[in-house]
Amino acid sequence: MDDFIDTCVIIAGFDNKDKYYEIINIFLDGTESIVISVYQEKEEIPRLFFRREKLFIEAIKFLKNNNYKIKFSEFTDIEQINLKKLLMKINLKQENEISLNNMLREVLILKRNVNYFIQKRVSKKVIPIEDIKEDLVTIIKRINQNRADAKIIASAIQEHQKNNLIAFTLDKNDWKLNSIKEKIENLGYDCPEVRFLR
Amino acid sequence: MVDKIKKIPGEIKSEILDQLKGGPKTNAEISEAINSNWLTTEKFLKELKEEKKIIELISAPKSKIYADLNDLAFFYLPLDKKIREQTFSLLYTINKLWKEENNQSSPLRTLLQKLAVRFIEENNLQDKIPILRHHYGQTLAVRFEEDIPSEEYSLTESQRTSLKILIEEYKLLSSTDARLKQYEKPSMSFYAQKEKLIQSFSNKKLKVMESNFFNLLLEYPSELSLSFDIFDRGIYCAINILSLNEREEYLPHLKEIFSLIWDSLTTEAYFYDAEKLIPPDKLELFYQIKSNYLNSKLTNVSNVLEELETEINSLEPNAESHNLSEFVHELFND
Repeated sequence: MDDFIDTCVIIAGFDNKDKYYEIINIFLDGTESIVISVYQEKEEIPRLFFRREKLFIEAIKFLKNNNYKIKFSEFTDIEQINLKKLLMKINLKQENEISLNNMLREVLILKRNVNYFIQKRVSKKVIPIEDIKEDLVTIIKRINQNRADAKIIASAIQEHQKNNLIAFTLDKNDWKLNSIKEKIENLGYDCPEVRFLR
Repeated sequence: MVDKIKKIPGEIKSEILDQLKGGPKTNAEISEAINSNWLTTEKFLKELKEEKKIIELISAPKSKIYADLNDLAFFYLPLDKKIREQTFSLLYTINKLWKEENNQSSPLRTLLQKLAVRFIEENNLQDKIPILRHHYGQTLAVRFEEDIPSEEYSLTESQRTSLKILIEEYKLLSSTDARLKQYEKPSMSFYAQKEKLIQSFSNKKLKVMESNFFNLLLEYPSELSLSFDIFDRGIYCAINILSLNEREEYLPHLKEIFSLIWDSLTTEAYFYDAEKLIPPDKLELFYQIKSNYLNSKLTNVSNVLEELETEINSLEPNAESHNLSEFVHELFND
């Protein structure tokens, strides 16, 4: 049976500050067949890292020039909060150019670690992006309000119809399918088992 | 009825070349302009190509585009005629004055271009003679060739004086000096940063190199959207290479790749700046030429990057790289 893993699991496996870092690595080391969606590889993960890079780029530009106008509108609400935290640290002299560059480097190295994982450890990347079913995405989006996550979950569900899998995630909120299980089954899909690693 | 006079091959070729003097054209445009049929024109275009007098810019089966091999416009762009003429006229005039002031020796081409840019900016002539970004900084839209005659650019007394002062200054500079001098302007910070990066490859000071890569990322001109993907991927490769134990063996390759990336993005910059200089009826031709030059460069660089990325991504991460700072850890846990 394949193990479909959510992106947060991969990232946590490279973050030793995560409480479940060791458990996640034990789990990943013991897994024979790791599966992710094409959407994660081609869109979600690149975008995730690009947006975090952008945050640091804006912060460093602000640090170098106090008159620089931060493009807040280009960030989501949560990103804006993080950016403002960073700007406050800059104003309080808790961060400088070196520390910001260090953090940007961490993001790029983490990206490489994730890419390494995808290249070396992932057995299959499933469901081409154009094959993700929109009706499934719409239903899933009702519980998590996040289109990107909905596409990943939809990919897992679709793959499960061909090859049984168990989905693993750290995110209890987005993957709670019980409330929409009936609607998914009405569309003709069986839901995979979802296990929460936290 | 008057018999139609049949033109001799030499005449047809001469007419074709005349047509191309104003910029690139399709076979159809040339045929119509010289009142010849498509096949005949095609035959003579082929001969002119073999004689190395013209170049086939774009080879799409239904729409070949030809340019005079000696066309002075960079990338053989279909520039507005007035801009073309005025730009060349100014270069001609500067060259002439330089020779008068310097015992008849001509300035080097790069020096001439940099001097011209400075002159245009100091005399607010940008509306008449545009400045564009290119591989080695700002330049004009056409190159200068000594043996091509031109009318002199009409300078006011103060402009002539200003030019003489600049010539005095620039005759003491090498081409590199003139280029670096241009990079001192705030508007050229991206170029200045690239220069620092190249220096750091020579010095092999890795921390400085990393800092220069980050600074280059910060200075990236946001309007160059087509090249951003390869640029961002280049930065990713660079930062990760610099964190490796085996980094020294990758540095020459990294430098080569950055040269390719630089070539692509400065080509995009040139086309970005040139677009407003193209007459409306030539815009489609302009986009075809742009696409032809840029797409092949971007694809080539992307393929080269993919190989390097695959190699970098295959190297096992060390445990130390799992030590994220608190802020970065929180960033990925939201």
